[in-house]
Amino acid sequence: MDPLKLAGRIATIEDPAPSQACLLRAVSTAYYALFHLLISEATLNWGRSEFRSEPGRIFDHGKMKNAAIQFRSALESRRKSSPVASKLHHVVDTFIKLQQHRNRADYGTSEEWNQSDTIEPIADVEAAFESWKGIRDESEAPAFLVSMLGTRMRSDHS
Amino acid sequence: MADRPGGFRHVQTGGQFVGPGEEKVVFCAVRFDERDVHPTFSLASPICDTDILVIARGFARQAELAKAIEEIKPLLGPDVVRLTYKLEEDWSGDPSIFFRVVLSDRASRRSEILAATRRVEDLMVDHMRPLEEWGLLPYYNYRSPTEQAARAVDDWA
Repeated sequence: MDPLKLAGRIATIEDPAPSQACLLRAVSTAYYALFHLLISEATLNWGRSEFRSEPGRIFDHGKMKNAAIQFRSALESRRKSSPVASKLHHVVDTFIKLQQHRNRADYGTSEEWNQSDTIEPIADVEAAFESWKGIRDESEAPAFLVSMLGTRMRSDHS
Repeated sequence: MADRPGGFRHVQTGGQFVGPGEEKVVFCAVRFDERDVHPTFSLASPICDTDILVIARGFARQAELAKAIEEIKPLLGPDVVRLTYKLEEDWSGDPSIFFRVVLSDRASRRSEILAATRRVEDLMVDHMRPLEEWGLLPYYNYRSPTEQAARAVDDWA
């Protein structure tokens, strides 16, 4: 099953009173849906399909976050005037937020979650998937994907 | 004031704006023991071991930050029942602001929540520029009034 659909299903499987376990797993699954989307897009052009899982393992949550922050700042001034910048900003911003949600879900065990804590991030990831579809062939999209490996952002995208 | 190993404490002695979202804050490590409960010191004092740290402007100027956020609240519209925030580091140690937003029950519906939250977040970014002006990564958590009322303790007060 598609991981994002799975996240939505976990979030609603016990409606109207989902358990904490369902709420937490749903958000963590939504984060990994976006994480794996970006990694799979980054490795898509790797020549030999059988080796695509190897470069995928290079990606690190922390380096991906740093790249996302850099891109978010660089896109900020253009997000109102450029549809591409707006969509990429949305993907980047959602990725940063979902990392924090996922961290709360996986490690913040004392916190009591509500349905809104889960519904909103999943809806945000669904929208980020749509945003990505609209820009994945634009030049800035692969630049962002490559930057998530931990390389410096090129000055022509800053 | 933060404890420091070896009987010293960090005492903030001054701040200076150094760049977008950052503040250079001079910390003075002051000997702190029973004989010297209220130490007097200056940057030139030999008892001071100064450290210069660059910290998020939002952490250094919390009163100004609070004022900036208060000015935005009237713009948020009727779907935002309450907005509070907490300053903390995020999962990887970056200075962050965690907005806690109680949305109306109508705006909290599955079909409405994304539009309502995008509006809140766009307004905060446009008017406050959390990262660029204050050096804070913005994060948001949402609850409906029903969810908030069901809690035994108001942990968002």
